[in-house]
Amino acid sequence: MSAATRARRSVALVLAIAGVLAMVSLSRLRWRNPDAEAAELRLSWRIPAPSERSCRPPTEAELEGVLPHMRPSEVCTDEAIPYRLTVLLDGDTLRSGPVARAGGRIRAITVYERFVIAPGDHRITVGFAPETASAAEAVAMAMDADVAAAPGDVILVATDDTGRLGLSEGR
Amino acid sequence: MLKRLLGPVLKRTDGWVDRLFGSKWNPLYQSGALVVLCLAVMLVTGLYLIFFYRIGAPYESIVRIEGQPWGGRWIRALHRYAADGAVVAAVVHALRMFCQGRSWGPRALAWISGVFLVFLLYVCGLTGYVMVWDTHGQLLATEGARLLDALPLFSEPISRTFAGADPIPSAFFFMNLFLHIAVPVGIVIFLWLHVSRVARPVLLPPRPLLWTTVGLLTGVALVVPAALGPGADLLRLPAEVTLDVFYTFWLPWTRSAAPGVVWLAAGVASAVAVAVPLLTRPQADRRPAPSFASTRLCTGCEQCYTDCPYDAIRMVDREGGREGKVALVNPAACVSCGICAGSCAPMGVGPPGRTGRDQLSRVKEFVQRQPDAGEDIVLVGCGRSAAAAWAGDHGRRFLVSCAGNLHTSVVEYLVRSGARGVLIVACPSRDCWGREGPKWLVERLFHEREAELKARVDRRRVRVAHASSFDRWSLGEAMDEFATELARLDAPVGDDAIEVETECDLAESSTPQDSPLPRPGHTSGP
Ligand code: HEM
Ligand code: SF4
Ligand code: SF4
Repeated sequence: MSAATRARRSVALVLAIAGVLAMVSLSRLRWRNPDAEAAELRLSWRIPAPSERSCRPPTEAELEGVLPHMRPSEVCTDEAIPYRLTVLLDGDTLRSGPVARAGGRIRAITVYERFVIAPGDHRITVGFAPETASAAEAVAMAMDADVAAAPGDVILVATDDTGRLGLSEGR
Repeated sequence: MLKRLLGPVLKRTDGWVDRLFGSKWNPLYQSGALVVLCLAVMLVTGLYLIFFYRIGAPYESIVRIEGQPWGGRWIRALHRYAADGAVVAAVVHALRMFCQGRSWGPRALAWISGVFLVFLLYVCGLTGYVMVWDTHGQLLATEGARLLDALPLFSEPISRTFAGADPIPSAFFFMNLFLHIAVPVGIVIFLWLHVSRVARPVLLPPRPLLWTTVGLLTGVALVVPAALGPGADLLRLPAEVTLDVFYTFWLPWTRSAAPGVVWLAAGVASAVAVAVPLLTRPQADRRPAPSFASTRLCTGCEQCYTDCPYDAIRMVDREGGREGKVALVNPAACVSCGICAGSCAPMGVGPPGRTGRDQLSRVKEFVQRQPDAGEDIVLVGCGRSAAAAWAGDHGRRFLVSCAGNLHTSVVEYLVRSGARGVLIVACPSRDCWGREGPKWLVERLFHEREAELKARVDRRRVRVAHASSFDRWSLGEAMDEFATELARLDAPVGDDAIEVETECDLAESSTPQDSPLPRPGHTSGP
């Protein structure tokens, strides 16, 4: 190998080492997450989906063709009860609206919401109740709490073991 | 557009890297094989790490691995850096294939499976980062869940798993680990598909490059441990995260974007990547015609069948009740590299206009046009090599589409016509557009591979140089060296009447102009 070739190969090796080091530094690039400068209010719970049963006597047409001893005395339908979620931060509404249900056959209502909030002291008010007054006996939950949120904190509102809504420290 | 922009940059880089590393060890030419090497390193190091990983306490188990300074720590770093190397090499490999126009026609399967390979590599990498369950893994998992929840896949938001109210079920870490281990099986299957259309795929780089790469990655893994952030805390938003640009470059962008926009961007990018074979396919009248084997000239020697780098030639029974086999080109698999033209002693196969016979008539004209050729070195060059742009002091130039197409009888003709020397300029052997051209060329000229250069030709007057399109230095050096050696020889004596054996009647062309292109499944001849 000539001296010139040897010199070129040495440069090549140095370049290869530099290339690998560059790759490694890109593999460990520090990044400040701007989201962590604020705090997050997070709501997360799941309740069995309540439904409202309404019954009426069967019509003539419905009874037709059914054997006499098989005829029902009433026909009932189960209607999912619509729920409304209200979230207030220091009295300002962050959200107020119906809770969407995933698919008709799901027997649960899941709430998962995230809100970016400014760090500091806040009053958080959460209401989760049936939209219709007729479903008075269905589960309704509410919570009111004062919190101090530092940058990057997650204020988690969830149900506890007894099914009550409250601030959660995580389990 | 991208090709026009990137192509020249790539060629220049090739030239410089050839100059420094030597074209034989240029890592850019070995990018596909380097991906395989990185995957192999990942597999070996992963087998070690899996013994120490615990799905019940993922972060703690990684901390324990990091606590083994002579074992786990550098093996984990090597695992990670090999994964990064795989992405870098795959991107270089894909860009090269794109810029060299190796992305359509019979290569479409390799292209599309390549896109899937990159997808699988990402799934493997991302699940790997979640496995660590530090703040980087946490961010990845929560962002991934947010994006997945926007798709109509799950009946309930999976993001709730990471809400922080309950501990994360170990089923999640089991599922993640399962994916991380199962996806490599998919990678192996897709890799098999990826190279299924090429004969003799080169899956590993040459040994010096292989060990240098492994050595460099190991060295850096010993010195720079892989990043490990603080353990995930779902009730804290990760503030400072160590990103791996090669896998999680997208995190800073997607976190503030609506999931629909992210999916749209990913969908468009994937669709474009998969559609490249269609988008880059030249118009029908500009596509090079596939090779064609003449049943009349073919002696059934099987050399083209052996040499074809794309397994596009089969040997089939002769028709018409005659004994023996005959070559049949599958036009759907033929990329028109022309390498078979150099394989065939009777010059019975090759793309139209590029068979041995066509080359021979071209070289005859070339010699006739310059009768006092004896003074010169004839530069016979591949149009993709440095020969294409050569404007040196000595030498006349005879360009061919690929040095591997070159029939040895052309070289014989030039030497016997009195050329001082014939310098054949090929691309670096691992960067041949037709994959194996330079390799077969050298074997045909100097190692008696069919169709070999006849013994009567003075081999001292024949030389092969490898120089990529921008590597004018190597070509200049080879030219000067060859000229010096030739100066020591007697003056060349040209033959008066050169008879070159074609083993069949020279008058007939193997690919007559009026012969239609063969249809798949049919053998046709003049
Ligand atoms: C990610 C993992 C990948 C691996 C391990 C890999 C590996 C390889 C190998 C070993 C070859 C055969 C090389 C030879 O012997 O000539 C090859 C060929 C090829 N690769 Fe890849 N590759 C990968 C990704 C890609 C990607 C992303 C693309 C493009 C989207 C691509 C496009 C191609 C094409 C078109 C060929 C055929 C070249 C030809 O026939 O001329 N590959 N690859
Ligand atoms: S190299 Fe020529 S003679 Fe031999 S099988 Fe191929 S076409 Fe026939
Ligand atoms: S031109 Fe010849 S060697 Fe090249 S792919 Fe077609 S049949 Fe194979």
